[in-house]
Parts: sequence; structure tokens; C-alpha cells
Amino acid sequence: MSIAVIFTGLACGTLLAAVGLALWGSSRQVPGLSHAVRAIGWLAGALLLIGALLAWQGDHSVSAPALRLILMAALAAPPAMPHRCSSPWSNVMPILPVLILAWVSLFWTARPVAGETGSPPVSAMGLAVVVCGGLGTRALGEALSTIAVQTPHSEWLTTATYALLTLLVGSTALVNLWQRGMVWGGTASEGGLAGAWLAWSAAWLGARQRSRLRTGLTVVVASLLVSTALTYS
Amino acid sequence: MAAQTPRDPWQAVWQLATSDGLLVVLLLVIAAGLTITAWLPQMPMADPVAYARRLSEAQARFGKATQTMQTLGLFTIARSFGFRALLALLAGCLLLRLIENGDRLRQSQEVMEPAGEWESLAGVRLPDVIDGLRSRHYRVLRQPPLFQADRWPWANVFPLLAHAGGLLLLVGLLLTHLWGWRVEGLIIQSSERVTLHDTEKWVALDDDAHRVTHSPGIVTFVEERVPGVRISAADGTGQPLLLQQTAESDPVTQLTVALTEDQHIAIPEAQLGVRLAPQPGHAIEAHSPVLVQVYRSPPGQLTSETVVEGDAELTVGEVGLELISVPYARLTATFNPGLWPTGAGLVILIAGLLGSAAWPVRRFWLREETGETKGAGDLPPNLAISEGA
Repeated sequence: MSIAVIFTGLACGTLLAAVGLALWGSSRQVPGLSHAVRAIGWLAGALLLIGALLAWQGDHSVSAPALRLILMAALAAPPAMPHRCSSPWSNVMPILPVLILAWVSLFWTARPVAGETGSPPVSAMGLAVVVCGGLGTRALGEALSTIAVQTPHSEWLTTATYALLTLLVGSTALVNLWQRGMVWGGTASEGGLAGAWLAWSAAWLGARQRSRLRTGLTVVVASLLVSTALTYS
Repeated sequence: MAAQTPRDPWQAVWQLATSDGLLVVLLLVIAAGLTITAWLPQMPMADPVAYARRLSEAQARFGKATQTMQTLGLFTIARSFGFRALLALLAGCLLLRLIENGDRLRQSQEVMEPAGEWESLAGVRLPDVIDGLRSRHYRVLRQPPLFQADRWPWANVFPLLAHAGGLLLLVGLLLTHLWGWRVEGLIIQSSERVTLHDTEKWVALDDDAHRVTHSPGIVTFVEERVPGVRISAADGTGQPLLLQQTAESDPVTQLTVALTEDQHIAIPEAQLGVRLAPQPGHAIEAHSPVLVQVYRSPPGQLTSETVVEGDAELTVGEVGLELISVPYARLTATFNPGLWPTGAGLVILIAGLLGSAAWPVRRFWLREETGETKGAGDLPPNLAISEGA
């Protein structure tokens, strides 16, 4: 068993503990519990990041999509500032997407590498798409939290993800135009990224619309962005 | 009883066409189309070989559903009428919104009618708030007893830029579609100059297949560099032997072939067949090693096998083979009359969107009523928090 898998497994356990602690705290008024959940989230993020770096260094047992998943989970795991809302779901919901990504990556690493498609995100573009995916995972957690506890979340995460995505898609289109004379390079990944960007544009524009619509759109486009980042090559 | 004013239908249409909702729907549908292109294979029209390969791949993947999917246009989404109609609708929507935003920019010079419910801002002193807003680069207009705070003009200029950029981008794409063309899979050997079919444009490759030159107005992109060979054969007396690539082709004394795939050449007078192929296990590049196999014909028995790099001379029995390396490039040539509008549109669009993200429209109104500060509109979070506290 590779060291990267061990770290990812530890992170999965830590995230499960964070979810359990948050749910346990719902029935008891334990002071400082949300801080403990946050600290565990940071620990999980650190474990995932170490696991991803070890896998990146040349652990061939970890496939490229699994590595992308671990990196996205590592970026999304450290929790944001504590919510003013006292509901336990406000602590649980942001962790759920990270937990799913971490577990999927753990199972994925158990698969044989043979026949696996995709390459590790070694290019600046590939890495930036993974960062976008990580921010998208965070935005997904925030949106789920909003649905669960009906309190609006901060807009900076959605805006930051959109700004980065805009820069990525825009720079790709400009490079294509300069090198190939066309906006469209013709690769499937570019189509997916442009689709995710347009969908995120709609969600960002929908920020002025009703809150439920905005949150629903954020959930859909964040999921789309994560799947695009996963398959981007 | 108040008389009801009849609603102007044109105003209703204008409001619908410039609404955020319509733009959201259009963007989502176009995004769905683009996302499908990422998951389903899209058929290239310019290259028949690539088209046939993709179609057979699709048939292997989707089986009987392939025909239905093809009829629905799922393999040619970007070229479908529906997708283009959506882009045209988007362009129309952006144009109307551009006009609306321009008007809004002009109207926003003065104090506007407060929008939204008035809320009490507990623990807030109006003069302190006004000073704080001015220090954070808000424009504060006063029309006693009302104060209007906003980020005019930049907060209104950036959306205007985003709309103008998006529109210019779509105009550029339209110009490309109407008058542009693209040649894919163009294979040129080193030192060769090719005139593109039905045009006066040309493309040339230097001796090393590294530098591509072309006539002005087109853009070339080298997809890959492949090895190539110029082959000639001579008998024991130095007399050139005739070569044939196919049974139907005219015999020649010299043949030049690109090794994009295996090549087979017959030397009928010497009863030999030559197979040329890129050496397996090596990256395909301009000067990759080439596997040369010579067969006796009949019975097809392998007589000689060697790997050559660069120029080489081989002797098989009485026959001498001369192989000269002639690298090739596979490239795409594009003529795009919409290049500059598209590029300018992209830059303006990105600047507008990033500016809008960093400098959002946030207009709100404040007033003091019986010693209490009240606010309406898009209040900043710090004021909203003090209201909630």
C-alpha cells in the first residue's frame, strides 16, 4: 500500500470524525465544538495535501484522476470562517462534498493503473483547472449549507471561482486564437471548460435573482465544474 | 377606484429581452450544449478519414443508438442550426442589454428612486456611515433627506464592457463562420511550398521541417512532425530501377513518402518489396528512426531489416537502396477574417467580467428618521450585520 493512500485514508477518517462531531454536537451544547470541527477540517486538508504531494512525486499506484480528486479535496477541506448560524448542518454540509471526493479518490487508488486515462495536472493550465475544481467543491459545500440552514453564505467564494474560471477560459481562447487562428482548439476538455464557465456565468448573474434559484444553480454548476476538472486533460 | 393604466406590450417585450432571467436561460442552454461536446464525440467535417474513424468509434460505443443520436445532431452540436440560433439569440439579447446598460449609466448620474424595503440600521450614525463609504470609494449623492451611495461610474461601466465584449466576440465568430476557412491535416514535406486549394494562399516548410512560412492573412499550426523518406534504387551497374507504390500508379525512379503510416513500395524489376515504418517505441518526430524491411517477392520472405536515422544507403543482393530523410509536417491552416474582432471582444469581455466581479453594482439609500438611520437597496454586509445585530 502506498503512503499516499495511507494519508488519504487518514484524511477520510478525520473528515468522518468531523462530521460525526458536528452531528453529535447538535444534541448537546458543547462550547467550542465548531472550532474543533474547523481544526479537524484543517488537519484533513493537510493530510490530503501531503498525500497528493507524495503521489505527485512518482507514486504510480495513484492514477491521474485520483490525484486530481485528492488535490481538489485538499483545497476544499480547510473550512471557511464559522457560520453565525448555530445549526449543526452549517458545519456538516461544507464537509460533505470534500468527504465524498476523498472517499472516491481512496477507492480509485485501489484500482489498477492499467488502462487509466488522463495525465497528472503538471501543466499550469491543468493545475489551475484543479484549483478551480477545489474552489468549486468549497462553493458546493457552502451552497448545500445554505439549502440546509436557509442562511445566505458569503459571495466571495463564488466570485473568486468565477474570476479564476474566466481568466482560464479567456486565456485559453486567446492562446488558441494566437496559435491556431480559432477560439476553439477543438478538444473535448475545452468544450467542457467553456460549458462550465458559461454555466457559472449564469449562476453568477443569477445572484441578483431569487436566493433559492441562485443556490440551486450554484450546486449544479459547482458539480459540473468538479466533474470537468476531474476529466480535464 | 384608481384607473388601471394599460400595459405597453413593447415595454413588456423589452423588459423580457433585457432581463437577467432570459440571459441566464440562454447561457445555461448553450453551456449544456458545450458540455455535451465534452462527453460525446464530435464529427470533424473537413477530414473524411477522421470523420469515418470517429463514426466507427461512436458506433462501437453507442451501438444502435448512434443513428438516433446522429439524427438529433448530438455529434455535430456546434454546427447545428439550434446551437447557432441560440448564439444569435444571445447576440440579440446582449445588444439590447448593452443599450439598456448605456441608458442606465446615463441615468445613474443623478439620485434615483429608492428600491426595496426600508430597514432600520441599529447602532449606526449616518454621518459616520457616509464618511466610511466615501473612504471606501463609494460615490455618495445627497438629496435631503435622502443619501444615495453607489460605485458609479465603474460599477456601471464594467457590465457595459462585458456586454460589448461578448457582442464583439459573437460578431467575430460570425465573420469567421461566413468568410473564414480551415484546412486540416495538410501534409507538407520539408522545402516544399503548397498552394491551398481554391485560394491564392500558400504554405511552405523549411529544410528541417521546423519553420513554417505562409502568405499573409492566414495562421498555421503544426499538429505534428513526422519522418519522411525519399527512396531510389539502382541495380549492380548503377542503373536506376523503377519504383511503384500501388499496382495502378506509374513507375518512377524516385519516390517521396511521409511516414504518417506504414508505406509499401515495390521494385518490380528486382522482385523486391520495401516496407517503411516509424520505428516502434520511439516518439514520432521529424527525424525519428525509420524501420526498413525488404521482402523478396514472391514468396514475401523477409530479406533484410534495418533501422536508419537520417540519410542511408543499403544494399540488398545486387540492388542498392538510397534513402534520404525528408521530414514532413502535418499542419492546420486557417483564414479567419474575424480574428481581430474576436480577440478584441475576448479581452474586453474578460476585463468587463473581472471588473464586475471586483467592483459589483451596489446601490443603496440611507436616510435619518426620528434619530434612527434607515437603509434600503443593496446594503453592504457590514451595514446589514449592524442591522441584524
